Parts: sequence; C-alpha cells; structure tokens
Amino acid sequence: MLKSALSLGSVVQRFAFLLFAGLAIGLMVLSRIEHPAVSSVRAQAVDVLAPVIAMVSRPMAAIDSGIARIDHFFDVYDENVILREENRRLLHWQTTARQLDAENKDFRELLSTVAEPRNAFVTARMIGMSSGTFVRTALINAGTHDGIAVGQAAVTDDGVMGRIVELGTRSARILLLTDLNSRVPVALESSRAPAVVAGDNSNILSLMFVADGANVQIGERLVTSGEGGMLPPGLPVGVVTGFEDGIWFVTPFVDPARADFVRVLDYALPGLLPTTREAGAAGQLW
Amino acid sequence: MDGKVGKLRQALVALAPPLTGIVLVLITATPLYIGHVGQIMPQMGVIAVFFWVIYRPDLMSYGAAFAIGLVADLVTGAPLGVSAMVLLVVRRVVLAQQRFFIGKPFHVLWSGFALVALPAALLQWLLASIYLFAGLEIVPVLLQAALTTVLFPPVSWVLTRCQVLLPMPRTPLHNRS
Repeated sequence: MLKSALSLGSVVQRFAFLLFAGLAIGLMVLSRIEHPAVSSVRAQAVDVLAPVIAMVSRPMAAIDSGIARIDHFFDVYDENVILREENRRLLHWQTTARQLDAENKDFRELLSTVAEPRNAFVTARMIGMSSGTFVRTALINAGTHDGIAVGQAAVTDDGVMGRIVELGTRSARILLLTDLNSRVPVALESSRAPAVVAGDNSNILSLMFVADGANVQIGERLVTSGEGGMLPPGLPVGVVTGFEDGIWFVTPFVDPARADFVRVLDYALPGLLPTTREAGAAGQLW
Repeated sequence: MDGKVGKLRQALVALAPPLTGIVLVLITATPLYIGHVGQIMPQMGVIAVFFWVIYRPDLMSYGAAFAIGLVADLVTGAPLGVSAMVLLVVRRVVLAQQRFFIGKPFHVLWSGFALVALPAALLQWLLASIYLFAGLEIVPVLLQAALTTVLFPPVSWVLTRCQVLLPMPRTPLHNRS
C-alpha cells in the first residue's frame, strides 16, 4: 500500500501524511482517556520487544560498566577511606539494631501484636529506562508469569524506586518516584508526620500535604507510611535537601540509572487489597 | 524460486531503514549511566528519519516514520502517538528540502539537522505538555536537542555504512518528491 502511495505522487503522499497524523492523534486521545486497550496493547508490545531490548541492552551495559570501572579506579583510595569509616559506624549500628530487634520482639510478645504480612519478592533485571523529559519509567524482565501485579513496590537496597503500573506476561513497567504522575504517601522518620512526595519529571521530588505543625528540617529522612496500602510501611524514600518558595525538596535515595536489578515486593494485606489487582487488570491505574 | 528470493531480498531492503531506526530507538531505551548525564536521552528516531529521507526517501515512508515513533512511545512509556507525530512532521519537512541536501558537504547536512532537531524537540515538548496538561520544563528539551545534534555525525556514519549495502533505487531520486 505504501509503495503504491509513493508512485502515485504528491497527492497520495499528502494523504498518507494526513492518514498517519490522524492515527497518531487518535492514539494520543485514546491514551489520554486511558482506554484499557491502549494499556494492554502497550504491555503486549513491550512483552514482544522485551527480549530484543534485553539483547540490545547487554552491549550497552558492558560499555556502561567499563566506564564505571575506569571511574572507580580513580577514586579507589578516597573510597577506601570513606568505606572504612562507614564500616566502623555500621558495626556500631549493627549492635544497636540487634539490641533493638530483640527488645522489639519482646515488646511485641508482651503486647500480643498481630504479625505483619511478610514481604515475598521477585528480583528482576532492569532492561529499559526512559529517564526522558516527559516520562520517568523503567522496564524489568518479569511480569505476571513471575507473580508480579500492578501496584507492587519496586525497591533496591537503597530504598523505594517506584511501583508497577503496567504488566505483560514477562515484562513490567515501573513508574519511578520522579515521574510527573507519581505520588507516594510518606512519613517523616523522626516524627511520623504524614506527607506525600510528588515527582515532576526532574531528579528532585517535592513534599506535599505536610501535616500542620510538622517540624520538617533539612536532612530529615522520609519513609513510606504504608497509607493507602499500596506500599509496605517503613521503606526509605528520600531525604529532605532543600526549601524554596514554601516547598520542601526531597532527593530520592534510589538512583534508577544505577540500578541493575530491582526487587518487586508482593505486599498483600489479606482481604484489604483486592482492588489494586482488579484495577490493574482493567488498566485503571495508569 | 528465484522470484521468491528476489521478493525476500526486496522486502529486506525495504525494511532495513525502519529497522535501523527501531534499533537506534531501542538502544536509547536501555539503562545507561555515562558520566552522570544519563538523564537526557537523544532523539534517535529523528536522526534515522532525517538521514533516510535525504538518502533513500523511497525506503522511509510515512508509515515507516510512524512505526519508529510508535516503538519509541511504546518502549519509553511516553504518551502513545507523540513521537510518531513528531517523526511524521520531520519526514514531511525534510522531504520538502531533500533536493537541497543531496550532494552537499557534511557540515551543511549537520547544520540542516540541527535546524530540524530543535523544532522537533520543541514539538515533542509541546505535544507532551498539552497531553499531560502541565508546563514541562524546557531546559531538558533544549539539552536533548543539543545532544541529538552532537550524536548526528557518529550515528549517520553508521547509517551510511548500512546505506551503501542497499541496492540503488531503479528510478532517480529527484523524480520522487
């Protein structure tokens, strides 16, 4: 069809342009009104493309790690000094944590606290990243086949990276904390005052809906509050690093560009959360 | 048998330019962290469409440009149709100027590309801003256009290597507009 369009000259050419432009606009509208078909087609297309992306990403990852290695070579001495210092500090914390853990267990037993659901998790490789100007998402090589569901939290060793918004059988898309559409309920670590961190497609998050009278300070750590039941409580999110025009800025702990693998947590509060999955199946969360 | 091989060959030749574009788009979708600037992604699709429309417009149809843009949107999770629309416009604009670029030295081609890459990035920014109904920051968009322009020489060098492998079109290029 395209060939004949070419040979029939500019009138048909113009027609082809209009045809495809119309198609593009149609897709934008369908995508905007969050038509379920768009979400499922997108997930299926990514499923098909995932092995190709994974293949293409291997040589790129090799180049990347080569550059990182050269980078590391130059700061090996400084890093060693910092790590020794950190190790000393962490050993101290380890002792403290063990004591607190034991103490906590005793208290729980004394109070007969209901046990929290344990997190099961799936570890997946990051195969795609769109840290673009319009959208901040990442692709991983695990999907429904591996037990992943929409709404689950994606974490690394450093903290929360985002949550699953789109699902194929063998691939899934993570909406990063920094995306324009990302809102995560958090709590200030020191006072447990609730707030929400919002992304705006930059590398910095902003703190919204801070409770009145909450004493926010630079250096304050934020953890997930577990409100809304989307994410498990207590996962590190970021640290408050600035204040401008009445808005607190938060630097996330996780730099998605540096993560090779992510863990997807299956945090299912029994009986509380069927809606997340149902909504996910209908593509309503995107 | 010979006819089948010939047809297969023809199909491969016709698919080569869009495929190079799609591979380029997939490469930019991989996680990369080079020198702390990994946050800006070049618009590889624009390079591919610009290059092929100038040298083989017969093999970079509106359909092919649309397909490359669609793959870019699908993979990056961007609003569907935005990159496709941008590449359609790029194809149309570059096709109108195609004769001017034929046989010109590389620096002219490069400057021409810069003049296309910036409006293309701005168009994408505009479409995404309307779509998301939010005033997105413009500085990353300008950086994106700059990075795309910087990457044009190496990428077009690779594409030239692909282009010389393709058989010449049967009718002269300047008859196609």
